Amino acid sequence: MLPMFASSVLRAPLAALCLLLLVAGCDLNIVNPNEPSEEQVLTTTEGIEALAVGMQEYYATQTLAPVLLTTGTTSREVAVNNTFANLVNLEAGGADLPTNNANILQLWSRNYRVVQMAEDITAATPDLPFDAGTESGLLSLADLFKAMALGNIAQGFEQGPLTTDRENNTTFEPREALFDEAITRLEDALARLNATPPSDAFLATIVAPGIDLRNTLQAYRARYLLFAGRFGDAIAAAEAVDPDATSTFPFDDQSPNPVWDNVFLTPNYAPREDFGSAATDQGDARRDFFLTGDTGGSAVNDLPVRTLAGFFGSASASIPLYMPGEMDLIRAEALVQTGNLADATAALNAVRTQAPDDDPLGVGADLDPYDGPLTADALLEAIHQERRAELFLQGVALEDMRRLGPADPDPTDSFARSRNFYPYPDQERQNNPNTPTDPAI
Amino acid sequence: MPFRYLPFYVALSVIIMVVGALPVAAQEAPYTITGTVIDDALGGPLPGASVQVVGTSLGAATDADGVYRISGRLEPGTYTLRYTFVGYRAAEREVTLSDVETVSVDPVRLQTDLIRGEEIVVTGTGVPTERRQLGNAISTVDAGELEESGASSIDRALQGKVAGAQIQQNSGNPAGGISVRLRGTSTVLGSADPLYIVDGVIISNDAPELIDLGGGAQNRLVDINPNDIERIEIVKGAAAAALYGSRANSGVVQIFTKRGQEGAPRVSFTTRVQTEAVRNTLNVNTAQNEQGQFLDNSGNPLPDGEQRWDWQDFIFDRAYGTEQSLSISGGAADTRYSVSGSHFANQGIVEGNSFRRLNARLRIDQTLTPWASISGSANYTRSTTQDVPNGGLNANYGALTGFIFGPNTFDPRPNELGQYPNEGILANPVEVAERFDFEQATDRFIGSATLNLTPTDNLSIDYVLGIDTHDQRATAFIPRGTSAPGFAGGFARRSTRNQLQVNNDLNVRYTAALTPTLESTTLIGGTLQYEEATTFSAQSQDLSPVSEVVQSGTASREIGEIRSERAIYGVFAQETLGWNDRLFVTGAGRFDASSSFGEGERWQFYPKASLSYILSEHTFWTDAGLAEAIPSFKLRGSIGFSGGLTSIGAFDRFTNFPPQAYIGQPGVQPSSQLGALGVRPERQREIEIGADFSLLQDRIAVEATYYTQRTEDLLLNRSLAPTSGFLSRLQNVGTLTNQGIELLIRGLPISQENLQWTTTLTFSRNRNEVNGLEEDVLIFPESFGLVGAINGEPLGIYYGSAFARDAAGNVLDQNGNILEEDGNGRWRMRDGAPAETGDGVPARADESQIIGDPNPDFVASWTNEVRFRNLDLRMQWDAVVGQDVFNFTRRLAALSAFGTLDDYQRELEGDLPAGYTGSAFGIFEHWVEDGSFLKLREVSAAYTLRLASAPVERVRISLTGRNLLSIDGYSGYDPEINVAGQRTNVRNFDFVEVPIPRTFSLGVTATF
Repeated sequence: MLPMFASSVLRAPLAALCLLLLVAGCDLNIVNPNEPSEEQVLTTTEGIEALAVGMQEYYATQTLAPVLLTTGTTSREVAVNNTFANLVNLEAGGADLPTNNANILQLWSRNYRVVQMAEDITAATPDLPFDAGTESGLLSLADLFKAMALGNIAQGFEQGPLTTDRENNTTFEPREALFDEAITRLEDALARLNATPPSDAFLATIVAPGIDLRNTLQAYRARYLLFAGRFGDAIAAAEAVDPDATSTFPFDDQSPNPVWDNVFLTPNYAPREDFGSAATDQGDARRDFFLTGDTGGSAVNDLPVRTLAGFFGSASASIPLYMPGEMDLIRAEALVQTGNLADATAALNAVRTQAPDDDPLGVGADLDPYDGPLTADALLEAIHQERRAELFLQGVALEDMRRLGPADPDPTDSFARSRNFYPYPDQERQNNPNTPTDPAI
Repeated sequence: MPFRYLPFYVALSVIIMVVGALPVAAQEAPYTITGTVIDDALGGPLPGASVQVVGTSLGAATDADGVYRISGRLEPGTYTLRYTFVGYRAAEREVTLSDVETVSVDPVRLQTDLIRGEEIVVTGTGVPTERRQLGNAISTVDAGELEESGASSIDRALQGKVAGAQIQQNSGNPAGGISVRLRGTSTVLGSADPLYIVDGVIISNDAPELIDLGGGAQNRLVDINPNDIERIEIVKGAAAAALYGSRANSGVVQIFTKRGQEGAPRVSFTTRVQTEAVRNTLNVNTAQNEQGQFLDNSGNPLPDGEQRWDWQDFIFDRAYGTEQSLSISGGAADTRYSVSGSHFANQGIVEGNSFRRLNARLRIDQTLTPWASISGSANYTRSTTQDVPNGGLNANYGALTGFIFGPNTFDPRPNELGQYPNEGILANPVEVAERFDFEQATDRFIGSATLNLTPTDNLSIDYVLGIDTHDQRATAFIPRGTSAPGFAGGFARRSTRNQLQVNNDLNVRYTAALTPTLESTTLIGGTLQYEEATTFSAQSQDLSPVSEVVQSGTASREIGEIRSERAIYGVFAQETLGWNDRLFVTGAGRFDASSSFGEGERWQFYPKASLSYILSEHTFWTDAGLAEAIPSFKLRGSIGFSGGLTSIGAFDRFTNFPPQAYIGQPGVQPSSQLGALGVRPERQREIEIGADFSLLQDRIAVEATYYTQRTEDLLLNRSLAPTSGFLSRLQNVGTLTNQGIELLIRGLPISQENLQWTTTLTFSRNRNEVNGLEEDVLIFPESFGLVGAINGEPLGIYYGSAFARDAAGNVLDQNGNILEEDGNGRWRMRDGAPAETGDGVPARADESQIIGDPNPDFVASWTNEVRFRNLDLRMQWDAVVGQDVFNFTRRLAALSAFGTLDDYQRELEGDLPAGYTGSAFGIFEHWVEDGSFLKLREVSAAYTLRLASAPVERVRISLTGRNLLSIDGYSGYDPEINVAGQRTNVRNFDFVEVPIPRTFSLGVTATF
């Protein structure tokens, strides 16, 4: 081969000439001073530790945006406030929602990016010389983030792969299997942490300040058990969460709150008046927590919108991974489903009558106790309404509407979900032959 | 054998040591040779012609009276004087030097040479070569053509002057960017602009967007002062440019600056004033009801006393500019020099926008011995701009951006308290222009040192060291409390880019007459190139009062630093055989290595072969009587290979994990681009064939070329399934082909004493096609998802929602009625008038489709130059035909939420059915327009005064108009526009970028 000939014969005199004429630039193997390569990250303890930090940052600043706002548009928690076609189409929803929609691609891709980072940590950690507590912590953190990412996929799509695959060939499983895998990951992590508690160094330097690993694992387990219909286990898991604990994603200038970013910095979205629900009680103190300012019209469809506050009012506002009140609402719903309406009502009232000052995150409805009929349907409707406010922009409203709301979506009703599930992004379909057919709506 | 000097470094070090110690040869005596050169057609003196003593480094240029004077030390004997001037046929005279010190030579008359066969060029050959010997087309532009263009940068001045080039000004800002495409686009990821070389220095033409001005950016060619240019040579593809190896895929533009000539100092001073204004404005919404009340965007009357405004009145303003430049050149004995300095300052037509450039330049040529000379050049530039953001590709706080989002139902000017109304959707344009402070400044040094050795008549050795380094700094400041959404607390950003490029080139040339009819020229050479760039930026929001600096901001603080480094090795050899001065065959090859690619794919081989055959030199040509009709006829053909270096960044082949801290803890995150260690450089193969011939006693010269380029291993960011954990991977997939013809016809309709008329027509047609993509549609970033590539289609087609059409292709409304376009870009019912809801409202097709193509069918220019006594008149028309332009500006303004242009006015007033603009907004095809234009690019008149009595030798007064007139059917400002700046693939995107103004300038040049 001529190039090989050139390489061997010409290289020496050229290098010599290079040294004669010029000090810099003589080496063709230039080291990248900007960032490490994959090999440098995955084969060193400091690389894996940095990746574990980066994974949390990525989830908090990148993945959360579509998880909260894309599904939040379909569930009508936010209105689109910008004229970009992808946003306008997303809000329109319906059967014609384009499969190349950028926001849906983000929801899909940013969760699988997290899955991939978690898998890298899971694969690399056991072979590296970590102490036992740090190894346990890293593996459990990876399990949590993989579980959250798979859970997000299962709430937006009918099917999804359980693992990533660089050969573009991973197979799809039904969403129930995704919830099951998420629950398994969470239970593995809890068992591992019980066997080997995380090291202090891990808690101090790797887990982001504000994240309570053990309670978050238990809370997400409760959430997904409810979604999976395993009501007894869901109640037990919800009760295992410390009601006084909080777990929040911290933000700062370098890692700004993604909802703030998309609402204030770039006005893509605005929060709907009354959380996008016609049934919201005007005395609900949570309105004042999450919403401020005057009611205006959104840019595209002139929907009534307010100014966003609460966990999203500034670049550095923390976003909870779960709301303490969600555990009561999980218990309430699971109790209804298992026929215990009295305890269910009590759990519901625990949220309804919560004073903001008594809540660890300052979120309280301050409403009167439930006084509606003590029937399963009425209670479920009340629980749905309560979840709408208590879990505003927590990324679960679309799942809640499917589970507790009307049977079918209605894109023409600005209070009804505009889709059931999203179509699979074109980029997946064009590259992965296993991509299933899209849901009709 | 001269080759024993190899390897190069031995040769070079020996030479460097020897040169300093060489004594001057003993028998030399001082001589002065003088004479005059006359323009054969006009009969007058020919200033600026070059006279060279062949075989020596002695030479001079003629002064304003056509007089030359060569002084130097020579051995007695017989020498040949060679007289050359661009556009004229060379002449030679013999002169014998004996014991008379001063020798006068009879006047020499130079004849116009339309075909320019004897012009000496070097680009693509590495060896000074007569154009007639070349197997490829080459375009040359000389100073005279640039001087009267009224353009402030080289690339603007080149518009319309090069066959095979499409040169587009992307913005009408005074330092607005330019894109140059030579024979189409041959890369997707990289820059498709050519490689620029100035006096042997590879220079940067980067266009970094250090601050967000809405999409556009200045390209760094703006730092070069067009007044310093002597000549430009342009080769357009691999067939001619293979010697430039991995940097040649987009062609090469080589610029030669003015150098001193021996003789008395020549001083030239130019002063120029210019004025610019917007050529036309958009029709804004002035909707009124029948009572004469202005309507808001909901159709309700505005309160009494309020009205709709044309905000363009407050944004655009007449701009003024000025230029002064001084140059001194001359030389004595063995030293020649050229020194120049200039100051150029120009306002933009958008209030608050301006550009200033200071240049200082020195060039020295020193003859060391009869066989050794060195030359050095140093050029310093400071370019500064006061920028006003516009456009809407990224940031949405621009001046025209605020105008188009409107609504124009209030007066945007400040009230008596100095407060700017904040009732618009985006930032108040008047406030943007007056209170935002966006600036850029560049300090740049370009220097070169050249050593030229001719140890024997047959052997020459050249070494060039070139350095281009610049610091570009940009600051952006939005004060507290402006109307810019999201920036109420103010915004500060500073970004700097430091770049260094170094090239070392060593060429060894050996010529030999193998037989009396066969001549050989051998060239071997090597090049080492190194470049590094660092970008550093910091920004913040929520500033302290008054403070404009980044550290005063308390929120959204961001810092970033990116470093890049690249090294390139290249060696090449070339052999040219010339038979009987009529058949020339050249073969060459270059080995190239770039640090951007992995070891396995690093070394590449780029061969080339070419042939030139001058049939008219044969006796049969004359015998057959062909010489009468076609005095000169040359056939040429060339094939070459080259590479595309710019399409991959220095470290793009790795899977990188960029740092990302989280609340004080160091972290990394994988890039969304999966690494690909085995990627190869893109590789272009180009074949061109052509003919150069003259007709009608050399009154008409024709250069015709057909070329076909094929870029293989096209580097693309192949998309990956997101379930891979990544989004893309670099991959050598796909091909890109460019095929086309170039035609240059130069005619001399009138050539007589005191009157000469030259007319030049260039025509270029290129067909571009992408193939081998694995996806159905590859959508390019920063195009709002509307620009992409599809197999079998040209690069950069517009792809998006289209009109619903019936089987016959008629556009349909929402009720199935047929619509027709009314000549103003609006669609009307063909039969009847709207009666029901949805009548006359265009409907959207279900599927996205190709809805436009920004690539023109052809570009052409027609230039006429008339010289009558001392008056020079010049007129240039440029045409671009068959390109589409995406009028995003008009689309946006049509939507009821903004409603700033007359489309929405028509809906409000009932001329268009209700719902028309809302539906049309969602049909992107509605907003793609034919952007063909015929533009009066340049008109100039220059008068030269020769005042025999005054100390001034010559005064030249010129009046120039630029971009005076555009004949087009485009509804926006100007179809020559691109908000995406110099981006390779997103072209002809009109989104409130500043339009190209109409310019008049008046200049006076005095030569002493």
